[in-house]
Amino acid sequence: MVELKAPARPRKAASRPLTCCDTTLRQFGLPEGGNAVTVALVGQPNVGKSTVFNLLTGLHQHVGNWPGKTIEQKVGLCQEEGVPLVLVDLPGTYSLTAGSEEERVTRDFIIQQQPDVVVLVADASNLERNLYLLSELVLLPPPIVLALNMVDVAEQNGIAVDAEALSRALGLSVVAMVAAKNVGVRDLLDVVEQIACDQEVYSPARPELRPDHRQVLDTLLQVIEGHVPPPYQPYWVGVKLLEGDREVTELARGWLPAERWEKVHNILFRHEDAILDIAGGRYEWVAAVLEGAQIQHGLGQVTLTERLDRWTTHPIWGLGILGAAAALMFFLVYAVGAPLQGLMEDYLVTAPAAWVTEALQGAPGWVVSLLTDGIIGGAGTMLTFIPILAIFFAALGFFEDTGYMARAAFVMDRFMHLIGLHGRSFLPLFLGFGCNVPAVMGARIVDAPRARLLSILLAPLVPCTARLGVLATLAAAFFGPQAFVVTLTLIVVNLVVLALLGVLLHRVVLRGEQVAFIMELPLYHRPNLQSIGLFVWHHLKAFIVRAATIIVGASLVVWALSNLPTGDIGTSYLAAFGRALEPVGRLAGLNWELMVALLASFVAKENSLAVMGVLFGAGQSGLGLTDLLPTLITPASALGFLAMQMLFIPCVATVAAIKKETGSWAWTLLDLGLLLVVSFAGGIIAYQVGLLLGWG
Amino acid sequence: MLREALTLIGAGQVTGVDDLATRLGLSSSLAGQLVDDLVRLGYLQGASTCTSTCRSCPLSDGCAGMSQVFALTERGRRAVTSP
Repeated sequence: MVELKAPARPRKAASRPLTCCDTTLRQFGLPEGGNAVTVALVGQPNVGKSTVFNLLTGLHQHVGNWPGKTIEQKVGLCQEEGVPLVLVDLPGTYSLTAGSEEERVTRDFIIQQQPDVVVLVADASNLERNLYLLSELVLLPPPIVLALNMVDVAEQNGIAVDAEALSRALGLSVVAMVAAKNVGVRDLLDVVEQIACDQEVYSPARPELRPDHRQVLDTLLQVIEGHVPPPYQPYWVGVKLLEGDREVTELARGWLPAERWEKVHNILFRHEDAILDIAGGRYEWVAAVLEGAQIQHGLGQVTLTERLDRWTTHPIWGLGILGAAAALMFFLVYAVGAPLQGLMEDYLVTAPAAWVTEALQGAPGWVVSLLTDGIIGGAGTMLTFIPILAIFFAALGFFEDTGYMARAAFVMDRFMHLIGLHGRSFLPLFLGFGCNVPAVMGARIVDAPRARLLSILLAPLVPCTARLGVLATLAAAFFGPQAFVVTLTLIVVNLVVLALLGVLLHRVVLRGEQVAFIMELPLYHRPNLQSIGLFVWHHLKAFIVRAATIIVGASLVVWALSNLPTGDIGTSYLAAFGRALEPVGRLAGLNWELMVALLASFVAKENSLAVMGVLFGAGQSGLGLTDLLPTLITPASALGFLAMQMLFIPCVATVAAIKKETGSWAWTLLDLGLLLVVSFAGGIIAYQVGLLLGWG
Repeated sequence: MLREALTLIGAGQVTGVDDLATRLGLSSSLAGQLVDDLVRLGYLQGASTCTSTCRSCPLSDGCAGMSQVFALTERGRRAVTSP
């Protein structure tokens, strides 16, 4: 049993210079050159690291990406009395081997930024694996505090951790806490501040090397002596060289003169299996530390987590529960979010557009069109998605915080692996049936970078409500009683294409990622409302910033293409482009009007119908569009058009989201290129099938 | 400990990660990481999962395509036999 509450100590003044950089200080409105403690939060995924970060920083957070990476960077300020603490929430990682971007970001930050204190947030109920990360951290210079989180969950599961014994065994401070209940966080702050301000010698227990490897390491250290530039530590570099760490090996090759590198190379060649004993030593160190900390496992105890997991991870019932959870989420999203979206549409799009039209009565038509169609129609429509996104992210935050997300990922994993995705990709892709934008943005919950990228690239192939709306309208007009079969077939074909493209990208372009062998299933625990609230807030803020910048820009470009030079879409650049593509469109039975309608769907999928109405003169003919179209287009052409429309590049907002989330024009353009090829191929095949069926 | 794990796997003395964890005195989670490490370092390789051979296996329903078979690489075999 651990004591969770300790009397708060008075805050101290710093007795040594503290190291927060001026840029960060400016970010939080602190005076440059002032004292602030930089604290790095490190830990595995699902250990409550974000809960600790949110508790300490509240809304004083800056969220962005690590320079040159697609990994989220969160920096926050904790300022009560005493020295301000600047907290950096490093990406969740299991080790520091530089095998993944998360590991590289974490390792580079600790080595190069040298935070005053590193807080390792560990799950007390799964301490072994957390201690493995610690065995690597103790080789680096910054002092470490072990925040032993979720001790209540550990106790419920028959695991008692003696924090004091653990502290003695590790030679560093250990703070027992329950972050979800705000217990022990005060103690953590006090310990962090004490360590940052004091000049006590920091000497944690470190994994030992086997005597023969110790000699090899000593020889290696003699060879590299004087050639390891700060902030790298020669001992750490030596160990990493023996481990065969590629990044450090490349660095050392650059640092050392040729003759010294030759010596290093010879030593490493003779001891290429030293890694087995170095890494093996870490596992032994973990086992020894745990023995010293007197961890007791409740034997034969069937825990709540185990009882729930019998259902939630069951191959059949698990799928049923996931289906029910997803259905509930989508019920909330559409039953609650959709009416709110309609309301916001009235206030953010319709009313402002009417007001602008009224206010600018004497102004040129293009100015009114630019404001109403380009800006209000583009960005305003995007903002109406806020209620839907808020509910979706709240549901995701809830699943994540309770531990259910890992189970959902587990039961879907086997299916998603078939197309190179991880189980976590399921929920964001599923959301794509509503709108592709949140599907692309939701891919952030996928940890593995390649699987995240693949989820983003495949999201446009999930038919969104707008595409389904166009499909439903046109299928009913052309195919009458057979409309349902045609609609269902086209949706199934869409999902089959998604799977095939997933396999293709996985095997050809994104090959090489190791499939996770063990999926970590954290214990269930009560969700923390503050964490969920901040999760929702950060994602919505990112979305709003995006809508106000890149989406407005993209909307304006497309508006210009569909209005210039005459203000009439029939004679616009977009129409000229459509006419130029007509020879290709003919292969799928599409005339130039249908090509323009397809291209106009780039603004918003529903635009196809509006553009068809204009180009086919629905208003002048006195017939509705659905009555007019069957008289002008054959069912085979309609099938070709619908197949192309379903597989075509997504709307501009989704493209903007893809660019933002991948951080790369190359991936965005590759995705668009692939979708163009797939949609044209799909349209041609569908048209030919239509002709074979006698629909010409 | 990694050499011990390699020796056990190479000799076919373990039936799964849980078994390996028990023999090494680790949790299943940490033993899984150990196997991941051995794969990453090139001492073990994952054989293809449930290929056509599995169709005739009476236990295939139980593993549902989730099992993964590992074998020692050439480097792994050398490490086991070297002192």
